Amino acid sequence: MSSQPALLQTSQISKAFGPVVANENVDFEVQPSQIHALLGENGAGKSTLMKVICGLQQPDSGTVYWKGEKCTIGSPKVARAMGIGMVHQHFALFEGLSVTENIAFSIDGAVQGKALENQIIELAERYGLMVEPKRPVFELSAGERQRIEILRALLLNPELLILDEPTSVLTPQEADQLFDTVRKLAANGHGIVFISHKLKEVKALCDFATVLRAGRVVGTFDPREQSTESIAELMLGSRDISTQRQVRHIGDRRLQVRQLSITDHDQTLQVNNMDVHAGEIFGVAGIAGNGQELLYAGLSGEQTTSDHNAIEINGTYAGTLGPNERRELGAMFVPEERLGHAAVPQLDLIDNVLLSNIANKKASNKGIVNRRYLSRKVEEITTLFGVRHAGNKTAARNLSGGNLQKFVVGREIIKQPSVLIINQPTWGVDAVSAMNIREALMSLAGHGSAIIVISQDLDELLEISDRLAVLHHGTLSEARAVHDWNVEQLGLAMTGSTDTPGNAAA
Amino acid sequence: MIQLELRQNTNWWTSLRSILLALLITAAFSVAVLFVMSDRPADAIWQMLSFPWQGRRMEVQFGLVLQQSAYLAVIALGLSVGYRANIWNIGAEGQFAFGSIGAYAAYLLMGSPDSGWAFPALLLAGIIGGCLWAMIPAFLRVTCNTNELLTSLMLVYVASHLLTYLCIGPLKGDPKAGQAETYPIAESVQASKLISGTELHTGLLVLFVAFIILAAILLFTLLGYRLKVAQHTPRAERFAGFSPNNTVWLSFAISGAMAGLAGAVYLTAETGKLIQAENYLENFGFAAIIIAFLGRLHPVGILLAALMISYVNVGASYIQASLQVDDSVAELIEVVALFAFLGCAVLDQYTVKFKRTTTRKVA
Amino acid sequence: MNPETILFLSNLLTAAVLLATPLLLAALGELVVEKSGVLNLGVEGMMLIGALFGYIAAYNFQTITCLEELIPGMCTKEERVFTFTDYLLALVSAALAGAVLAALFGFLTQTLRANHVAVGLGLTILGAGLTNSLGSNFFGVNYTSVQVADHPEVFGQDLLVWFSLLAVPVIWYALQKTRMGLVIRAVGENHDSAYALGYRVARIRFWCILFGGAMAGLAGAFIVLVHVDWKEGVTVGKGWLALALILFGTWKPLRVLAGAYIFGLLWASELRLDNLFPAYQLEWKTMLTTAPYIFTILVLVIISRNPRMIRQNAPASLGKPFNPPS
Repeated sequence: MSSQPALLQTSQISKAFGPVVANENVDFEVQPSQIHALLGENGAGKSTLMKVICGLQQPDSGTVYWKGEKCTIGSPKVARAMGIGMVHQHFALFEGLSVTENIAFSIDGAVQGKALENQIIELAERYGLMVEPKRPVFELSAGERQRIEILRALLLNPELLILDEPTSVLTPQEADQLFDTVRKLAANGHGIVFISHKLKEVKALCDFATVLRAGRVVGTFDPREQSTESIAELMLGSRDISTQRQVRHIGDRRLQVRQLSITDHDQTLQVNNMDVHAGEIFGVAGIAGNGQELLYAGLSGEQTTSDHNAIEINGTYAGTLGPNERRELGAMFVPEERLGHAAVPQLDLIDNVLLSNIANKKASNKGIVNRRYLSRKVEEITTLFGVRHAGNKTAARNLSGGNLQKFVVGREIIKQPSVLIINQPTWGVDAVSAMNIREALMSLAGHGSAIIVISQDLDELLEISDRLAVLHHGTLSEARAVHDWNVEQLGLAMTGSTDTPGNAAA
Repeated sequence: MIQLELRQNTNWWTSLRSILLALLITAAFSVAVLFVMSDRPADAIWQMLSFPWQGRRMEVQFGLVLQQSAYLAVIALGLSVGYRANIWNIGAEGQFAFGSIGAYAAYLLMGSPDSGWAFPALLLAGIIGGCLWAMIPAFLRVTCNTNELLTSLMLVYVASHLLTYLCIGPLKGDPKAGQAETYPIAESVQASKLISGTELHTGLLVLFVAFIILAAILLFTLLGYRLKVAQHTPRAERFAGFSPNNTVWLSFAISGAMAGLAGAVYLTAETGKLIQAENYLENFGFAAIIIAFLGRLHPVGILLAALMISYVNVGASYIQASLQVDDSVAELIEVVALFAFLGCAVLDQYTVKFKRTTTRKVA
Repeated sequence: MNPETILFLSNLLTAAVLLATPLLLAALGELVVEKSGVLNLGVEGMMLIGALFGYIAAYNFQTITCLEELIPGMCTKEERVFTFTDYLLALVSAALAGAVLAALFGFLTQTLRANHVAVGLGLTILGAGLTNSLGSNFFGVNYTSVQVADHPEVFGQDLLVWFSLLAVPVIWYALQKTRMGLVIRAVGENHDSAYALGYRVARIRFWCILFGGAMAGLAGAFIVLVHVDWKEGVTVGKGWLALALILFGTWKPLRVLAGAYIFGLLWASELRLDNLFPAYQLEWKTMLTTAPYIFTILVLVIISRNPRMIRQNAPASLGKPFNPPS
């Protein structure tokens, strides 16, 4: 092996953004035919390294070698021309353009029109990635969109293909198909970089792994020969991430949902029956894009229903009430997106506390904003939840992901809500902050709040929820106690492969 | 090649620096423009700067500046409400005209113009007039999702023709006048002079008070807060429980009301009668758009920008009279200032680096 | 049909062509700009500056020969010759003037990332200010002495009429069928993704903005060289109508063409109406002049009631600020 030069090699790559060091002396090597896992928490420096390799960013120092030769990757075009393909986690697609046009746009013009269409169909058949070339992208589902991304990377016949968390939006069956595709590509001599958080996938698919932590390489090994636990420890460092499960007292009913149906554009939500009690954490599992946003919107009142009796909060019907009226009934909300939904990036922390306190008489008196009160609240939140920030007048966008998430979660928790609805509580948050947030939620439930956690992280839900329901295709299944579910059943429910209880209920 | 890098933190100095740079650029361009447009550029520049101390009495000149800036500032502050929330009312000129029409209509309907309530009633009618005219684009935007920018602008043309129509037709006054105009309103409902010989009158006090009230609302109340939220992120707006449609109504109502008030004051204080559009409307509604952006949509900034631009305007008409320099020089300086301020604002958020372009070659 | 009707109709059509052509030129240019995701509200300003420079250039390029000099030093009978080359040069000047103003817009919005709406409005005011000051400098007090000879015609119509009609299929083809068009549409659809793929969003948009400016400049030149003589504010809001036309045509060149001619016909028939009823009262004429604006508003309302149509054709990034990750 060592006589043949590596397909791609980076040597001592460093890249800093202001004071933040994203990559520090990173050595990374991919061989032809290798499926190479790149592991690390969010913020470990994976995406920066990939951006350097794809030509989106230039390293501050260090060298990149392609097939043993030193090279400068000045732009994504250069990277593509060299034979480096990337499938992004967030689809970089053009809604108004057709599938063919989307692909034509990214492959620098060699093939056009009918010839390209035929090539797409041929490739799609070979790898089982079915798409309709003429359809505009805005009509397609998430799964179909990812297929376009993969197809357009494959059309360039790349020697190195980078897959950034490719399975996060796929059903297990689709993921299996993808793995087949990846294995075929590797067998043909292509090098693959596979970025993932799912260690099981990595162990099943990859034959080499590099682990990044805080911008440095902390380990390289064959993942098939390591235990999941040891890899996880390498990723997270020696931190205690286990949390003790408390025994909680389940009290009276706080939230009741009956026959709630909401339609927004082409999406629909159907919740037949859902009860959440005091002291209970109610988990909602599901693969991304199955109606989580709409469920959150329906429960928070950002999207109201015409049926006033469909939702009952603390004994009061609330179906037609907006967010602030529901807050007055004792419900509080944390949406998924931190920046731009839960917080206004450009406003300071004081103003951002006001965002969910519009109806709070202390926060504003006869329409006049009480900045002093809000400032006190910022201090309360930040000290209680260990939010690191440069003063109360820091703009929200200057906080790191984990700190901002602690802030927006803390903002609701200190109100001791009777009902808390939280969407993706720890998405994209560092492990320590995620642990803090989960602990805070459990302690809140311990104090008698009813909590609904919508999450795509199954491990998280299994760790903290008392009862669990599955959201698939906009329909919420019947809830069961966590220990009454097994992983297989959950998987099937999440992919809609069985008649889960609740789907049939009408 | 210019490259921009996002600043980690911003402070008062970064803002001040960009404002100073913008002022410098404006000054340099203004000097250049005067050099091109005047036979005696040195005199033109000197008189432009020092005109209040030249010729006529100083308080008269400063009175003119204050008078103009009052109208501009009030309309601009009203417009800034919507602009903060990305709602583009560019039809203030029409709402100003309707404010005047509303006030005149109230005068005609009023039985006893001698009552002490007559003057405030006229102003109120102006507010309502401007407000109603502004409601049309708001209504179309909310119900039909029609682009409010274009509709509000189209309505300016409609309003100004309507004003002319009223002066030619139903409200036609003295036929011997050199222009189409209505009969003047009674002395008792005209704004009275504060200092004789100057253009300072009670109407300006009204405008000043309106400015202070709206500024306080924007800076210290939930209403101002909701606009700040709407400016940046519509989703956060819904999270906070604000309805985006209500933001549209509200900002059009406020900007229409302010332009309408300005129109009513203009009628009662400056002309005393309606006149055909081209002799009545002074483009306050359009100039105010520039003022709003020059002042960075902030009340204090708007006030300063209005004073600065009015000073330039009055100065330009002064040198037109004294040195025959076309007064469109003012328009040019205004726009240069606008562009300089908008362009320099980039320094607030980014550090600008001049780099040689890295050659990106496709192999 | 009796000859009078035919004459009336042909007059109407001629007038409609005169009114529609500048609208069409400006709207087609702005359509490309908007397809790339930029909203340039300065069309009116660029048209005005194009009109002024077109007129000044035409005045300078024409050849004036004095035929008769009854009083020494004063020409009493002169001949103005305006050749085809002169005309083309005047058009190029107008297009360049429009493009220069557009470049200013591009620099401020693309390089310095200033607000599109503010800069666009500023551009309109700048156009008016520049033409007024430069115009008064150039023409002086009596610009009746400044006359431009008749423009040359091709097949009975002005060159620009044919040019504008030809531009419709060309722009359609360029946007829909060529790689360049694909790049422009993609940048207008999703600038972040286009940037991530290595396209220089700002640069591509800059070229589109320049094209839009040149087209607006030509539109302005058409108004003063073919239709009416130069005067201050000669474009009378046509730049704004062109913006409305793009919405009317839902960003499709062929529909923009149809829209421009419908507008032109409407406007022309309104002018004819004046001629038909000379005794018509002045006050009603005043109200009648508001018709195109009210018509525009009505059209906008009808168009915007169909959100699907807009979603399919409107560039998704239109007017949104683009901040590339640095």
